[in-house]
Amino acid sequence: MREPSRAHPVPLAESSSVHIRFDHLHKKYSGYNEVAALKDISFEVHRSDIFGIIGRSGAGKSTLIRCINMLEKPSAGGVYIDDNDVGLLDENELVAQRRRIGMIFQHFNLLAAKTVRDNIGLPLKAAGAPKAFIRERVNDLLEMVNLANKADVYPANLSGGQKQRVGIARALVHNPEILLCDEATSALDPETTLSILDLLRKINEKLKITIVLITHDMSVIRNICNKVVVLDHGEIVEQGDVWSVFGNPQADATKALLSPIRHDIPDDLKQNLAHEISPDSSGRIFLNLTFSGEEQEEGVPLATLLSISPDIRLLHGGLDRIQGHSQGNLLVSAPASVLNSPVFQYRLSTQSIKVLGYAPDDV
Amino acid sequence: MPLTMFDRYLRALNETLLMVGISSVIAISCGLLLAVTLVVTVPGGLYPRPKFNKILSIIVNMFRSVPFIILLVALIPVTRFLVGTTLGTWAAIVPLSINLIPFYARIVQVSLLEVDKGLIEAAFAMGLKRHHIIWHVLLGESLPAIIGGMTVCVVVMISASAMAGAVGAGGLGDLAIRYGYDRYETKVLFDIIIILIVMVTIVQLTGEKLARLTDHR
Repeated sequence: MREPSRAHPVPLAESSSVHIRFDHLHKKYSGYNEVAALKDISFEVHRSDIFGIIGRSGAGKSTLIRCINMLEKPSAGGVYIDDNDVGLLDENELVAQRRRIGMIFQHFNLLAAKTVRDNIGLPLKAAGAPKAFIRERVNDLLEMVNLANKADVYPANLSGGQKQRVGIARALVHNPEILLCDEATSALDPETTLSILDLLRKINEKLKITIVLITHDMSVIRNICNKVVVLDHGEIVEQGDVWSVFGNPQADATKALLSPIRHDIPDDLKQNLAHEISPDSSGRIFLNLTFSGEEQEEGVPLATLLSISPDIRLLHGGLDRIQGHSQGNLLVSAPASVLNSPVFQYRLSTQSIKVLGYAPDDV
Repeated sequence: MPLTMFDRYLRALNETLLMVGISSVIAISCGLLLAVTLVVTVPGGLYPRPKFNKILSIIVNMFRSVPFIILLVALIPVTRFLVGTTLGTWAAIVPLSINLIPFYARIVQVSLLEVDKGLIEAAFAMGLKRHHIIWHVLLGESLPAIIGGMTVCVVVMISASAMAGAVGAGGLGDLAIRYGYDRYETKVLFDIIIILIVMVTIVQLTGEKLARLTDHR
């Protein structure tokens, strides 16, 4: 693929500079019931970040991402792109700004009456670009998203993944510096989701575009984001590097969102567990070991497990390597006698080990 | 030389085609414009003008509630002002057009309102200006419905043109009433009914075909 020329080259020196800044952003929907959709949102997105915004339905993430390109006007506070307040732009300036921000959508939002080629070329056509230039640019993009053979097909004849590829090509047609993804994979099956995320990652690496995405799916964040903000009821409840938020979630909303990809105690085990240890410390103890990734840059040494007891058994769980940090949780069983060990007692106090319960014999 | 019956048919057909053709062009273009105006001026629309929208909507309803035969007479002063006469084919074109403008406008309005709001949002996000959105999104996406509406409009126009005999506009309907009804020449009546059926069928089939060709959903 030919490297598209950038209208606004990004100097490498700026690669870690602040690109988008939210400054005490508020959004209220007035009406019969006044609803505060966003409350005092402040955070920064750096250049070339893949920045995730996650929250449950109604948390305000859609509103938040739409404040970046002023599809939603903030009620107070502002959004700054390269230190320019987007809210102060007049109509023509806003149009120019939006051409530097691509956006893709959950339901793709392709025009049914236009072919793939015309859908992708529309933003350029509306901007008055010459026909030959549009044709060439669209061909390049079609190749990049692997749809060169679908140029003259109508969107109705495409699969969901193909539609989203068209959406991505259309969003990139103006060589934007920012790509907004509004639940871009929520309508796709898991396999297609992975291929779209892969494409987004490639785009981010190749074109150094800053990507802001919203999702309710933690695995999307885990897959491609480096930074994450967790929204709940219009407020930021947690933010940081993805590995640290995943490894050590603090807010209830984060924990709830993480639960589908966490390894909780399986029901069959849960039913057999007693909460009281037998008086003679016989039987086995069930433990949940959490690895936040802070210390385990080179993985979790098996010795860590064996130091609990040579007779430790892995039951359930898993580790993920996120941004070079191995983290996750493991459910293990060990002889109940380990409770008497001072080392074990010490580690219990560090809270990376939690006692789930006891069983008189092997389960 | 006295006119043969065939000549009369031919002349009436000509008059009908002229009336329907010109009135349709006027009604469809003005109706489209009116529909777009009605859609974009609603509160929250592309060019919100709530008061103007309300007034325009009331005017459209007023015209929609007057039966054509009454409108034909009521519009005589307007017709005189616009075409200089109140008799003949051209005099019928004025009320025929005016009668159909709000009718077609409402049909198109419905289809424009059905355009997915997500498409308009996406268009804004990609840096389209409002007039581009009207053209590429609102009109572009409703093209099949706009064409379907044209078919309905022309068919209604053909039937309304029969009444235009009242202002001496001639046409097939006029011929049918003067010969078929007034002179009890039943054959003329049925001939004309068949001609009208053929006309309407051609319009309907062409319209459906065009709507299908533009529909890529």
